Amino acid sequence: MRISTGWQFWQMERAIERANDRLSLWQRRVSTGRRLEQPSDDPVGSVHALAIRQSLQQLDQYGRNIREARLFLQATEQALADIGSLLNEARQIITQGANDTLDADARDALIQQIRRLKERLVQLGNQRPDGERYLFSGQNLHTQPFTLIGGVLTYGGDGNPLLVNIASDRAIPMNFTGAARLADLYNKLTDVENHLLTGDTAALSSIDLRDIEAFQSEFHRYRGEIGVRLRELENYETLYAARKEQLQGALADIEEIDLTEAISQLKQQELSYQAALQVFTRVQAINLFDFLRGG
Amino acid sequence: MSSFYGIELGLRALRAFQIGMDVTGHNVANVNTPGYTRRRVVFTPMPEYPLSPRLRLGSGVMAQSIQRLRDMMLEQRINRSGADLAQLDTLRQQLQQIERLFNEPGELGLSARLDALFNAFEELATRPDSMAARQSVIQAASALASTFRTLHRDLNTQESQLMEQAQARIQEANHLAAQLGRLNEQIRAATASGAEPGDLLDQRDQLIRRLSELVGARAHYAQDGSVMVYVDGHTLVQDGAAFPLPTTIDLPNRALDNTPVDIRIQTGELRGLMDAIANLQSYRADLNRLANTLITQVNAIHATGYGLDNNTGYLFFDGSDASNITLHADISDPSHIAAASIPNAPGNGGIARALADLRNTPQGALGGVSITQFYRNLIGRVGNDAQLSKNRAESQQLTMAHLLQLRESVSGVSLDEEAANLVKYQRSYQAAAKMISAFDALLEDVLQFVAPR
Repeated sequence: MRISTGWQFWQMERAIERANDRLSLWQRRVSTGRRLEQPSDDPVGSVHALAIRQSLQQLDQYGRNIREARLFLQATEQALADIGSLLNEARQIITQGANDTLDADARDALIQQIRRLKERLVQLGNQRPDGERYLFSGQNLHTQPFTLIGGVLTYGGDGNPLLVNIASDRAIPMNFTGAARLADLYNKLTDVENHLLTGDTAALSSIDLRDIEAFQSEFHRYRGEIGVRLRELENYETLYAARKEQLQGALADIEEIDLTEAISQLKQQELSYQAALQVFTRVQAINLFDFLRGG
Repeated sequence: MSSFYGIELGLRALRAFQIGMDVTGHNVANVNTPGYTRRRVVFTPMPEYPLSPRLRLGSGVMAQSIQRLRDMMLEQRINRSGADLAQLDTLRQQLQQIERLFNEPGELGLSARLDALFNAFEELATRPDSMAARQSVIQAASALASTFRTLHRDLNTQESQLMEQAQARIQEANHLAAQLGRLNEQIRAATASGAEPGDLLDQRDQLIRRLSELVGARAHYAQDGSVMVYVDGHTLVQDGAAFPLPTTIDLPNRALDNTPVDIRIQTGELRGLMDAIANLQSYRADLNRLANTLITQVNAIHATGYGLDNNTGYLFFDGSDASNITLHADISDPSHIAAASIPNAPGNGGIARALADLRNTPQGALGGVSITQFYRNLIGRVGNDAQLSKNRAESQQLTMAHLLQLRESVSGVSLDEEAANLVKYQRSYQAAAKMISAFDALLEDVLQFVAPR
C-alpha cells in the first residue's frame, strides 16, 4: 500500500498520543492508588462499590448501636445483680426473724436492716447511669419511675422496651421491661417489716420466705435474660468485625489498584512511550530529500 | 518541416517537464494541508507529423491535464463514517462531563449523603431523646437536600450549554451551506471554461465533509461539477442557493421542526448533542423521581410520629423534587423531629426506626426497588452509557482510521515519491535542454556553412 507522508506522521502522532495517554493513566493510578475514578471506568463495579459502602456505613452504625445498648444493658445487669444480693440479705433477715427465741433488740436490728434494704431498692430503681436517662422508666425516659405514696411504692414508668437495631432484621430491648416488679418487691419487703414488728413468725417462715425465694428465682431469671442479650451483642460484634474486613477487601479490589501490578504497568508504559518517541525521531530522519541534498 | 523543428520539440518537452516540476512543488508545498488531494500531470505525445507517406514523425510531448487523485466512492464513505464518528465522539465527551457532575464514587456524592441520613435516623432510633442525635439528623438531611439541589442545578446548567452548542452547530452548518452555494457557482464557471479547478474542488470537499460532520449532510455530485447537499429530505444546497436549517429542535424525534416535514438528524455532532441532552434529561427525571419519593415517604411516616413536645403531624421535608427539596419549617426546632410512635415516650424511637428502614424498603413509585438501590441503578446507567459511548466512539475511530488510510494511500502526498518525481523531471528537463543545445550546434554548423567569411 502507498504510504503518504501526512499519514505516516499522523500515525506516529497517534501512537505517541496513545502511549502518553496510557502512561499518564498509570501515573495517576499509582499516585492516587485508585483504579476507579468515574462510574464509566467500571459501571458494574461502581454500583457494587456503592452498595458495599452502604453496607459498611450500616455496619458502623450497628456497631455504634451495639455499644450504646451494651452500656444500658450492663448497667441493667449490675442493677439486677444488686437486687439479687439485696434479696439474699432479705432472705437471711427473714430466716433470722422467723426464730421464736429472738429478743427485742435483735428484732429491732432486723427491722432497721429491712428498712435500709427498702431504701436501697428505691435508689437502685431510680438510678440514672448516664445522669439523664432513668434505667427503669421504659420509654418514659425522663420520668422518675418509682415514687412512694403513703408508704406504698408505685411504678410510674411505662415498662416499654427501648429497642435498638443491631441488624437489619433484629431489634432488641436494651432495658429491663419488668421493672414494675421492683414495686411489688418493695411492698413485699414492707410486709416483712410489718411481720417483724408484730412478731408474726408464722407468716415470716411460711409466706414471706416462700415469696422472697420466688422473687429470688424470678430476678435470677431476669438477670439471665439480660446476660443472653449481652452475649448476642458480643456475637454480632464479632460477626461485624469479620464482615467489615471482608467488605473492605472487596471494596479495595474494586476501587484500588494492586500496587505491584500498577508499578510494573507504569514501567511498561514508560517503555512504550519512549519507543514511540524513538520511532518518531528515526522515521522523520528518513526521507529521500535528505539523500538527494548531497548529490 | 522547419529547421527549428527540433528546438521547438525540445522546448515543448522543457515546458512539459517544468509543469511536472511545478505540480511536484505544489504537492510538496501542500504536504501538511488538510483535505489536499495530490495532483498528477498527465503527459501525452503530440500529434504525429507526416513527413512522407511512409514516415510519420512524432512532435514531442505535452502536459494534457493535471489530475486530482481522488476516489469518489471512498470520499462518500469517509464523509458518512466521519459523521458517525462526530456523533459518537460528541456523545462520549458530553456523557463524560455529565458523569462527573454526580461526584461518584466519593464522599460528596448523593450516595454517601443518603447513607449519612439513614445512619442519622438509625442513631436517633437508639437515642430518640438526645438533642445531639436530632441535630445530626438535621445536618445530614440538609446536606442531602443541598446535594440534590446542586446536582439538579448542575444538570440544568449542562443542559443549557448543550442546547447552546446544538444551536451553534446549526448556525455553523447554515453558514457553511451559504459558502458552499457560492463555491458551487465558481466551480461551475471554472469547469465551463474547461480546466478542472482543483483547489476549489478541494475546498468544496472540505466543506461537504464538515457539513456531514455537523449535521450528517449527504452530497450528490452533478455532471457539471456542482454538488447538491441534503439533510434527511431537506435540500441544504442546490446550485448557488442555500436553504438554511430551521433552529427549533424537536428532541424526542431527534429532528428539527420544519414545514411541511420535520428534518430528522440521523448522525453528526448535532445528533450527538441531541442524544446527550436526551440522556441528561432522563437522568434528571430519575433524580426528581428519587427526591420526590424520598420526600413523600419520609413525610408520610414522620407525620404520624410525635416530637419531644408530644405534638404530631409534623412534616420533615418540603418541596416536590430535586430542584426544591429542603427541610420543612416544622422541624426548624429539632425537638419537633418525630422520633416516637406514641406521645409522652421520649425513649420511643419507633418512627425514627421506620425512617431508617426506608433505606432498604422497596418502593412502588421507584418500580419496586429501594431508594438507595434506585440511586445506585441510576449511577450504573450513567456509567454504562458513558462507557458504551466511549467504546463505540473508539471502534468508530478505528473504522475511520482505516478509511483515512485508504484515502491517504490514494490522495495523500508522499514526500519520497515527490522527491523521486522531482529528480525524474529535473533529469528529463536536463535531457531536453541537452537536446536543444544539440540542435543548436547542428544549426550553428549549417550557419557556418552558409555565412560569408
